[in-house]
Amino acid sequence: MERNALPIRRRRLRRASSVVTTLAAASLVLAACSSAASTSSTPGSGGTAKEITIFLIPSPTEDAIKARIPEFEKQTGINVKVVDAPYDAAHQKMLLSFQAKKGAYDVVQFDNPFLAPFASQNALTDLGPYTAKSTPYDISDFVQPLQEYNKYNNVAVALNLSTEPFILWYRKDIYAKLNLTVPTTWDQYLSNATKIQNSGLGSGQVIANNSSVNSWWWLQLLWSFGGDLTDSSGKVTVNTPQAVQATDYMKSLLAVSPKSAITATGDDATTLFTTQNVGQMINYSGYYPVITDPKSSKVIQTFGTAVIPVGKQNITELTGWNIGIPADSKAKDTAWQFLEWLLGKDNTPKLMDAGAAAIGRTSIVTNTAITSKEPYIALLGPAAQSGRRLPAITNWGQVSNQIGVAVQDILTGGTSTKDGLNALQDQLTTTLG
Amino acid sequence: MVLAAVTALFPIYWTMLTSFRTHIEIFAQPPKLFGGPFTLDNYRQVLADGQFRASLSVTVFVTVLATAIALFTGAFAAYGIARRQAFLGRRPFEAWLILVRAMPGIVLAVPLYQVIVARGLYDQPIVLAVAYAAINLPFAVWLMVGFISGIAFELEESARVDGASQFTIMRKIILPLVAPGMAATTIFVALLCWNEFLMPLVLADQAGKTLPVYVAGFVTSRTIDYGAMAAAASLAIIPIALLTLAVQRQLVRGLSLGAVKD
Amino acid sequence: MTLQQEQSATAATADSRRPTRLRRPPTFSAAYLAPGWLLLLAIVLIPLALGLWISFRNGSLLSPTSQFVGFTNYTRLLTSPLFWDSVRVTVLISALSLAIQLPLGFVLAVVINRELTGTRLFRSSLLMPLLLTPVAVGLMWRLMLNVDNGVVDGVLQQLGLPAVDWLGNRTSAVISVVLVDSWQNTPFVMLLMLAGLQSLPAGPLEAARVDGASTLQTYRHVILPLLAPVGLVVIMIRIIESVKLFDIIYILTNGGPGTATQNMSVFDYRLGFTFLQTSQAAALGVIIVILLLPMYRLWKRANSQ
Repeated sequence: MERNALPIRRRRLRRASSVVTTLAAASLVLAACSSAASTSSTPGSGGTAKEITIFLIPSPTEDAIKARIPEFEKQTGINVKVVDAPYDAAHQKMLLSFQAKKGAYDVVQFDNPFLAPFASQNALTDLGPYTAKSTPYDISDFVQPLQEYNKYNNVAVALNLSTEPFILWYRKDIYAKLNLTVPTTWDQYLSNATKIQNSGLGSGQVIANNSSVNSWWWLQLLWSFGGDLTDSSGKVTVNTPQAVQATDYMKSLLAVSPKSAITATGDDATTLFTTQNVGQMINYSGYYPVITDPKSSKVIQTFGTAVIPVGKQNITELTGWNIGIPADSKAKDTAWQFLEWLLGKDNTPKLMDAGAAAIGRTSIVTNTAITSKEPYIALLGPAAQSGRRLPAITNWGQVSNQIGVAVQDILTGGTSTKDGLNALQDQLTTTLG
Repeated sequence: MVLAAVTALFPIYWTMLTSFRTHIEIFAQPPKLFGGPFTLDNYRQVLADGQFRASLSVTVFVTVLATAIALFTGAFAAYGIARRQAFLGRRPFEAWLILVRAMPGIVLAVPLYQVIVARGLYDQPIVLAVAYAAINLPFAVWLMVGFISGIAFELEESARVDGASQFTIMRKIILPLVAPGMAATTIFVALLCWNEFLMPLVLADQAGKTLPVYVAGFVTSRTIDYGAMAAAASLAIIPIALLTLAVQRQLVRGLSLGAVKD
Repeated sequence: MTLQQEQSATAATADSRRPTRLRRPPTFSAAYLAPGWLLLLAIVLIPLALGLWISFRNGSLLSPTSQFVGFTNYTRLLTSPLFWDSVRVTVLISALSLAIQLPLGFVLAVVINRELTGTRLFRSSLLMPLLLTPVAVGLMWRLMLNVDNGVVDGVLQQLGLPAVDWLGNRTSAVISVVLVDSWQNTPFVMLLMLAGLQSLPAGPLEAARVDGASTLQTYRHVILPLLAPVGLVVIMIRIIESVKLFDIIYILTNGGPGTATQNMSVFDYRLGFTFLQTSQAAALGVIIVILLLPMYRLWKRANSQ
C-alpha cells in the first residue's frame, strides 16, 4: 500500500513527469521521423501525362463535370480521376495538400473566398500564359470584372467555373395576385415584401441570416447603401451611417421572412423558396438547377428572375466557383488540356446543358438561343458588368465569422445596431490591421 | 418506459420515413406524421451508386480490422493493468489513454495528416484501420479491465501452481471466461469504428471513403438531398443493428460479468 | 447475516481477487503494454507531440513555414473573450447533458432490470440511437427541429402549444444540443448501469432486506456504493466525450446562433479551419487536454475498489 501512502502532490508530480518523459521520447522519435521525411522521395499520387486527379465539391457543377468526363477520356485517352469532399472539408484538404506539396491534385474546384488564401502562398499555377495563347478558351470572351475574379495581385490563378451574381428571385403568381411589379429600389423590395407578408399568401422574402454566411448578404446591402468594409485608405468603416442603414434594413427584412430565416444559410433560403410560399428571394443565380428541379421544387412554373434592386451604388455581389491548377501538380499541361476542353468557348454550353451553373461568357449571355430558354442567363451580363467579388483577403474566414456573429446578434435584438457595429468596428480593425 | 422507447425510436422512424419521401414531401407544411406519397427513388439512387457499394465494403473492412487490432492490443493491456498493481510504464499508459480521448479530433487529425502524407500512406484503408484502433484503444482497455478483474485470481494461481505457462493460462482460462465481456467490448468498439467520421474525412479521399463520409456527401453546395441521405443512413444502420441485436443478450450478460467487482 | 457482516465478507472476497504484490517482477508485466504502446506510438504519440510543438509556433494553413513564438498562443487564448465564452458554453452544455444522461440512464437501467413484460423490446429500441451515423443524427434532428416545417413543432402545434424556435434562439439552441446529445448517449449510460445492476451480489441486498431497509435506504447504502466502479467509469467517459462534443453541434447549429453553442471543441475547429490558425487550434487542444487530465482520478478511484 506504500504507493497510496505517498502524498498527493508527489503522486501528481510523478504522473506529470512520466507523461513529460513520454512526450520527450516521442519528440525525439518525431525529430528522427521528420528528418527522414524530408529526405524521402515518396512519389506523389498526382497525375502523369496520361492521368490526372481532379478535386471537386459536391454541387450541380460537379455532377455536370462528371457527366462530361467520359467524352474527354474517349477523345484523348487521358484518365480523369475524381475526388470530392463537402465544402468545408474540401478547402481544408486542399490547403493541407498544398502544404504537403505532393502533387496530390492536378485540378481543384474551389470557392472564390479561398482564392486569396491559396494564391498568397503561391499554391496555384499562373494560368495567364495558358489562356493567352489558347484560341479554344478565348479569354477575351469574358468581360473585365469576370477576368478580375480570378486574379490575386494581378496574376490570374484560376478560371471562372461559374458566374453567380446575386439576383432577385420572385413568385410571379404572388406578384400577379397582389398587383406587384419587379422592384428597382430596395425600398420597393421591402414594400413588396411587406404587402406579401400581410396578405397571408406567404412570407415576404428570404435571405440568409446564418452567422456563417450572412456576411455575404450584409456586404451586398452595405454596398447598395453606399458603404464599404474599408475606405480607400484601408481604414475599417463598418459603423458608418451607411452601415447602420444597411443593417437596419436587414433587420426589417427579417421581420417579413419565414420564422426559420434567422438561421437560414443560402441553401436553406432556397429550400424555403422552393418548398414553401415565399414571395421574393435574393440569392445567387447558381441555384437555378435546384429551383428548376422537379424533384425538389414546387415553384418551377411560377418563379421569375430579375436583377437585384439598385441602391446608392450599382454594385452586384459576384460569387461563383473558381477552378485552377495547384502549383505542386506534376501534370500541369495535361491538367490545362482538360480545362481547355471542359471550359472552352464551344464546350461551355454543353457543360451547362449537363446541369452546371451558368458561366457568364459574353458569347453565352448574348446568345438568344440560350437566353430564350433560360431568361435568367441574360441577367448575368449586366450583373457581371456591375459585379464585385468578396474582399480578396487571406483572413476572410475570420472576418466573415466576426461579421456574421455580430450581425446575427443585432438581428436577434441581442444588441442595438449602433452598439453592435461599433463593437464590430473594433474587432475588424484588429483583424484587418 | 414507453415514452423513452418512443423518444429513442422516433428519430430513427423519421429517418426511414424521410428516406421514402420526395424532397418536396419532406418539407411539406404542416409535416405529416404518417403516410403521404411514398417513393423508392431515394433507395434506387443510393443502391445504383457505385460509390455506396464501395463505401459499404470499405467500412466493413476497416471496422473489422480496426476492431480486431483494438481488441487484441487492448486485451493485453487490460490484462496487464488488471492483474498487476504497479509496474514500469503503467501510469503513463493510463494517462495517455485519457489524453487520446480528451484531445479534440481536429487537433489530432491535422498533424496525423501531415505525418501520413509525408510517408505516402494517404487514402489507404489499412492505415485508416490502424488509426481507428489507436483512437478507440482507450475504450477497449477501459471496458476490458473491468471484465478481467472480475475473474477470480485463484483460478490463475492454481493453474500456475499446476505448472501451466502464462500463455496456456491466457488461452485456456482467461479467454473463455472473458468471452462475453469481449463480445460486449467488440460491439462498442465496432460501433465507434462504424460511425467514425473525422478520420476518414481528413485521412482519405475516395479509396477510404467510409459510410459516414459518404452520407455527409449528400450535403452539397446548393442543396441537401435529405431523402437520399436518409436512405443511405437507413441502409448504413442495418449491418451494425443486426450485429447488435444478435448479441444483445450477450452484451448485457457480458458487461455484467466483469463490470463490477464483488 | 447482518448487513455489516455481509459487507465485510464481500470485502474479504474482493481481497482474494486482488493479486498480491510479490507475484511477478514488475518489468515483465510491462510487456503486456507493449502492443498498446506500439499502436499509440504509430498513430497518436507523434501527431500529439507535433501538435504540442506547433502550439509554440505561429503556424497556419496560410503559410508553409512558421516561427517559434513561445507561449503567445496560450496567452492570447487565455485573454480572449471568445475562449472564455466557449468555456462557459462547454460547462453549460456538459453540465446539462450529464444532469440528464446519468440519472435518466440509471433510472432506465433500474426499470429494465425489473424484467417486466416487454423488457427485451424496450432494451432493443433504447439501443437504436447509438447506431445512427453522426452526420445523419445531426441532419435529421436539424430537419425535425426546424421551426417552419419541422415535425417537432408540427406536433406541438397540433397539441395546441406554441411552436418553439429550437435552433434560432440562443437559449433554445443550447437546449436542442443537450437534447440531441442526451438522445444519442443516454442508451450508453443505461447499458453500462444495467450491467452493473445485474451483477450486484445477492448477499448484501438480501441482508438489507432482512435488516428491514426501505427501498431508498437500500439504494443509498447498498446499491449505489456497489455500483460505484461502473458508475465512475461511465461518468469519466461521459465527461470526456461531453466536453469534446463536436459532430452534433457542428451539424445542428454550427456553434450558433452567433456563438451560443460554440463549445471549446467547436471553437477549436473554428480556429483551425475557419480562421486557418492551426497553431492556435493546437494550443487550445492542449488546454482542453490539460483540463481533462484530472479524469485520471476517476479512473484510479474506479479501479482501486
